[in-house]
Amino acid sequence: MLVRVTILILLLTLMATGLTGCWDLTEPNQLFYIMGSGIDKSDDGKIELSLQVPLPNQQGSNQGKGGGNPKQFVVVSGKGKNIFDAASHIVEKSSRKLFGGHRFVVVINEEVAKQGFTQWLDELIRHPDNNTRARLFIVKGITAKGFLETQYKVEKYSSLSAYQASTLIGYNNLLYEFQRDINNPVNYTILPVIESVTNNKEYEYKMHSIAILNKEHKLMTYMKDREATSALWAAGKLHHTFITHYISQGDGTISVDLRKIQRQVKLNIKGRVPSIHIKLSGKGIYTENNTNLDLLSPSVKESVTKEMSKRIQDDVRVVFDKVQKKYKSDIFGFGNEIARKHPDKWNNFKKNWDETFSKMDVTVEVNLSIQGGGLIGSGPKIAK
Amino acid sequence: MFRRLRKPKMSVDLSLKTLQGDQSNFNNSLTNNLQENYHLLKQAFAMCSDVVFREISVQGQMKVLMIYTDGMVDAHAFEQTVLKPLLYDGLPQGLGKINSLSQACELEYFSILDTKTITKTGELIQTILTGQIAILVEHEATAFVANLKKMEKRAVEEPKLEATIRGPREGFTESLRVNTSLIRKRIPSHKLKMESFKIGKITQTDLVVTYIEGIVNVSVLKEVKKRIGQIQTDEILDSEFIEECIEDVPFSPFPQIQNTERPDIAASCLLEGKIVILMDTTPCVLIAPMTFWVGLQAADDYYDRFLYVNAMRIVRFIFSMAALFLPAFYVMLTTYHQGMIPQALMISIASARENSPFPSAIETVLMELIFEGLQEAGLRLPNQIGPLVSIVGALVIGEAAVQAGIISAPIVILVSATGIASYVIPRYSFGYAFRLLRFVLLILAASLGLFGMAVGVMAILIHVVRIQSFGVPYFSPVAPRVWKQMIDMIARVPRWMTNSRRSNG
Repeated sequence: MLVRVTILILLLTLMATGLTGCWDLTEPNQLFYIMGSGIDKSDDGKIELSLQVPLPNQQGSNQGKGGGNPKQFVVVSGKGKNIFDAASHIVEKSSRKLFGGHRFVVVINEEVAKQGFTQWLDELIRHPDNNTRARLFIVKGITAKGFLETQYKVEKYSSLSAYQASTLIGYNNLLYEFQRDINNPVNYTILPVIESVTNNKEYEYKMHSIAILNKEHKLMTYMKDREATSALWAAGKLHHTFITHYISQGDGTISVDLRKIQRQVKLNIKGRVPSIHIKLSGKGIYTENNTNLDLLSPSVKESVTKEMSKRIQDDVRVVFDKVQKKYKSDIFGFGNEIARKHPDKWNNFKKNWDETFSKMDVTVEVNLSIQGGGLIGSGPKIAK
Repeated sequence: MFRRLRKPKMSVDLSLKTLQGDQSNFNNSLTNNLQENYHLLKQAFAMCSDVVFREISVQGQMKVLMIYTDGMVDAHAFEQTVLKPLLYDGLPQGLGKINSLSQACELEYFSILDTKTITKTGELIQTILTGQIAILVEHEATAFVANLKKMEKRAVEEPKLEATIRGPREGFTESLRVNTSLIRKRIPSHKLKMESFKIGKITQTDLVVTYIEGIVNVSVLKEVKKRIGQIQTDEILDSEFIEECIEDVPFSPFPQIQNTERPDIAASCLLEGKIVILMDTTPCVLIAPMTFWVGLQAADDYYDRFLYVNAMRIVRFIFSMAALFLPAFYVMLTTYHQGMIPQALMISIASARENSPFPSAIETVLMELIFEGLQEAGLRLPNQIGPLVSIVGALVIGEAAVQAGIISAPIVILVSATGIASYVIPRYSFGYAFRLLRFVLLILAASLGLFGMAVGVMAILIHVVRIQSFGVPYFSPVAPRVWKQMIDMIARVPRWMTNSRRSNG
């Protein structure tokens, strides 16, 4: 009797798994794995969504990536009122389901950025399958679709190369971090920019600038090169960087590679206008020495580090002045610090924060700790 | 809930009583008349051409009847020790001084170690058939039985399935006495007790339950003896019969009684406080109780250097888990949760699946079945065809099927990896559980995704934690947790670091 009941239960379970299971079984070759998404402005107020999707290579026993440079991806695009609408138009043209769990980058055209684009990020965060560790970029000089369509010389997909390049330049903005930042009390944000440089009809890209978004998350301005590095560092978003400065002691340039970059903020909020003291620190090594100084001797190291710190301090100072006076936007997150640590006082500052920020007294202190200089102290003697 | 099903009812009525006619004859005693005895026994052994009846007249006066089974007795020794004295009057005092055979035995005139007198017919028939020589004399209702067994047995050689790189190479044989001697020589202590039983109405197999008094867990011992006493069956041909009868949960895929063919393992288990059950006619001895973790330990864990052994244990554990979970894991990830696989791997898998007509789940089940079939075929093959089949299996099924676009390449890799992983499990009978459950998990994962697999794993865990082996929880020392034993289970420390005895079950 007991055996019969057990067998019956097992059979019922087996049938139940057959009937109720497998409803969302999707084979791996029934999906389009989205590598990168691009958002462009299209006519009559719509947006155009482009998706970079890898082609399954039909190689059974052949090895290697094809001899020449066969394109291993395809870009599908569609227009719509919002992302989901555009995606549904893409599905009309495609044979497979779209899957966003492997997305590398989300690229936004500067036109769209100028008009505010954060409403389009909703779909990318809402769907549980989506990858919120995708990196966000603004593209300048070319449409997002154009960027995704470019065949890169080295990497298989341009989105992959953007993803990897952003690690190298030391600043990457993940989608979920961006979404967290725009919900802060002071919500100016910074995004890296991919700028296209046309070179003999072949597109090339540079990532050397950042874009500053204002309170409505609309693109406000760009900052390049050293300004960008200093701004990012002061905002506490830089991971590592390379800095080259002219050192007067040695009458030449010296470069450092800084790895552990940190920012400490000291608030002083007595009075109507707060003042802030920032401590920037970095640890690194000397990578090039174009002077006659011996970088292995401790005294030389100390003095050179001091001078380097002073130069960086000057750079950051310049950036502060520019941002405070000209843009009046707190991209460095000082307001957020006050809101976090002294929420009661923040209520007083909240209303006119931009004004207050532009009047704030900001002092910068840069402490570099350069540990090594490689194999030699000073290079070949330089003729003067 | 399965305890009630423990005793299988094998009631084939082939008992001695009904085999040959008249019941009453075989319960009686022998009579004084030799002729009567002779006819009785001749009738009992009718058509048994290997039972030899030999009549001799001693000095022209006494008639002596000797009965033995040809092939099972040491004829030479018998001739020297019994026949010669009887026939050639080699007895020191001469035959005339002795009145009866039993008196001769009492006075120890025959130089035989193991002798006995029997009066019941049924008992006499049994003893003749176990290789002892019966001697009947006129005017006596007792038979004198001499134990001069000499049977063909296998030499002591290394067991095939439990080979080790280092360590003793002895294995049990089919003779009970040889087996007990192999254990006794490793533990020459009077506390090593060997209790003997006879099981099986027709086969009358000898069973020995061994334990070390003082170390063994008394309640487990009582339970073992009780269950053995409850076995009612007509035949026992292998220790598997006993294992089935005394197991706690016969319907579980996991074995609850360990079996081994190595005397060193048996001896080491005895010293841990376990009970070893030896049986005549089989080299497989049973060791009770058993836990899950014993199934993952190998014999040479204690014969090799401990650093290496610890590393190998990790490898063994990973592979055992892979043998169980890998196919289900693959199917589940690639068909339901593609987001969990990193990009590059996912694209490779998707490309490989382009050419394959079957869904992942069907492919995996198919290949697993073929692999199991290959394994089974490999067991039955004669030596000459063995290598050929492995080549055929690997090349044809693996390579050609992928080339033809019937199976995708990752599946072939997966199935072979799983197959190899299942051989890493040291105890062969323990591996059966993994091979069975792999299919169950595969079907669950293929239909219900991660949820199905989680449910399957939970069900297996619940089952494993619930069952007990003779009162010892199967999953101890992990559940219930005993820290000291757990550490020994995970890390094998050198002998000079252990103070207390190793785990008790």
